[in-house]
Amino acid sequence: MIRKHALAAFAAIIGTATAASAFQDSWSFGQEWSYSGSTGPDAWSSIAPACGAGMQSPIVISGTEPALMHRLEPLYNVTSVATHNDGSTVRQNYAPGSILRVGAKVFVLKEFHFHTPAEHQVLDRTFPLEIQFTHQALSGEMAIVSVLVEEGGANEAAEELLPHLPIETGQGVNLPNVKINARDFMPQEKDYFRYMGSLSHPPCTPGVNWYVLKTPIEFSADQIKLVQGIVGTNNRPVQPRDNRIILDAQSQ
Amino acid sequence: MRSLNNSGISAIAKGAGFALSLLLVAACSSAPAGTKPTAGAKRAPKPVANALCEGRAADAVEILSAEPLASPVDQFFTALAMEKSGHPVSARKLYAGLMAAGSTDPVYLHCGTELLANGTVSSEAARRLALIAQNLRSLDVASAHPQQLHEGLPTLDGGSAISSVRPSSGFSSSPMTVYRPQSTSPLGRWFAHLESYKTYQSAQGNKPTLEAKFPSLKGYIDQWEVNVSGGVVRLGVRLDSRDDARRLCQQVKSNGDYCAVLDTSP
Repeated sequence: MIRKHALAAFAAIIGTATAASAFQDSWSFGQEWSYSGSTGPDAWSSIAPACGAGMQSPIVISGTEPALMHRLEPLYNVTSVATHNDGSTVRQNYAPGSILRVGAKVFVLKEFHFHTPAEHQVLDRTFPLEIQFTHQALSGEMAIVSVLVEEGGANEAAEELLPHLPIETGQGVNLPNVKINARDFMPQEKDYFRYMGSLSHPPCTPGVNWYVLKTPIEFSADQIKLVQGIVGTNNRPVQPRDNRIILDAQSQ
Repeated sequence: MRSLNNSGISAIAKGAGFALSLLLVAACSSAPAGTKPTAGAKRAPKPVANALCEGRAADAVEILSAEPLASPVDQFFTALAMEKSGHPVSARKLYAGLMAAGSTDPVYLHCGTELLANGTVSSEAARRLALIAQNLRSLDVASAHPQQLHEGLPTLDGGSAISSVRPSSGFSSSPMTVYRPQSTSPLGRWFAHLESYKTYQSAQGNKPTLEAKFPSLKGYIDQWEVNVSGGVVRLGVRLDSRDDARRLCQQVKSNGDYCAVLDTSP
């Protein structure tokens, strides 16, 4: 059913996502890379040295340090569907104006995208899907909120978005009349694990603030399958911890 | 083709890593310019210092927690290893205890140009606490003092070394009520291990503190000298029954203190 919607949307509206941002540049990167074969993760450091420099993402969340932390406050606006398939993932771009507040820090939401299976692992628990919400502060500092997805009931917000995901590489879908809110892809409970990592794809830029939400959300098996069918396997293997602090946030 | 490239890169990386390790170890053996060790300063055991300087702090924790020593110097290096392995919140509790205890034993450790410790245990613990506070602030940890925090997730790799050295013993002198098992015996095979010291004198000196903490075990705390980490004296209770030893340790551990059941048979 969802696939039928997706195909219908694909046939009806094929466009090119026009929003350009530093994050889109980081995804296209200018060098060929992929998640398998000769351009897969093992070879990334040859085109992007940072990928082999340590302190990378994703990681296994374990041995965490409990700490009293600021609450995550996603103050996101409703936006039109503006998705783009770049061959590595499918992104929903976000217009300026939606922010994530963490204590005194403010980050602007740029986009969110999908990884199947999930990139982060919590102890030995793996997840079929992970949604990463990419933000940037005015200073250039980056923050990614990661939402892990487990199989369960159908997600209502996903019902709105998934039919409009572009299924061909390089294609975009813009639907001014179809509105979504990124916040609806997050759980109500926003306690999180916090660590410093990197972009999980080339150029593997370091210094990224990661907030991995402890509470997963649910997608139905069909919804997970649909995303898997479009983005394929696009998870970077977990990276060494490198003596990093992983904070186990208890919100104030 | 790709595998050849990867092998080449891997070999170069390994070579570079080895050379870096040698440099780091060499750096650990000589003081940074302008910093002389405090007179009589005690250094970390060589394997611990090497692990810390080579970025293998988790290995240092493993080494130190294999035989958790109770002297302030040993506790300081344990806290330092925990801090450097990404567990500053756990280390903070140890440092706080050391600072409060006011130990004047001098400690010294440097890695290359980084001076990790050079002063008394209490002053260095205070300095490390300040550094941890600064690091945690940069990660947005709220400055308000936490009331009661939950436990973090255990480690997947490296076992439970961090949790096994999570402190509260040694620094809390408040007596703890534990049930003394029937099978305590000076000739017992099983040893409920409570603390370790480097010297017999230290062990004897600290025995009354341990007995004050566990009044029901007074007169039953024995020492056991073993050749581990250059020789240590363990304090604990000997028992004939392994199950009794386990039960005793469960009681001690339920208060967050260290206890391990060891087999004394050769």
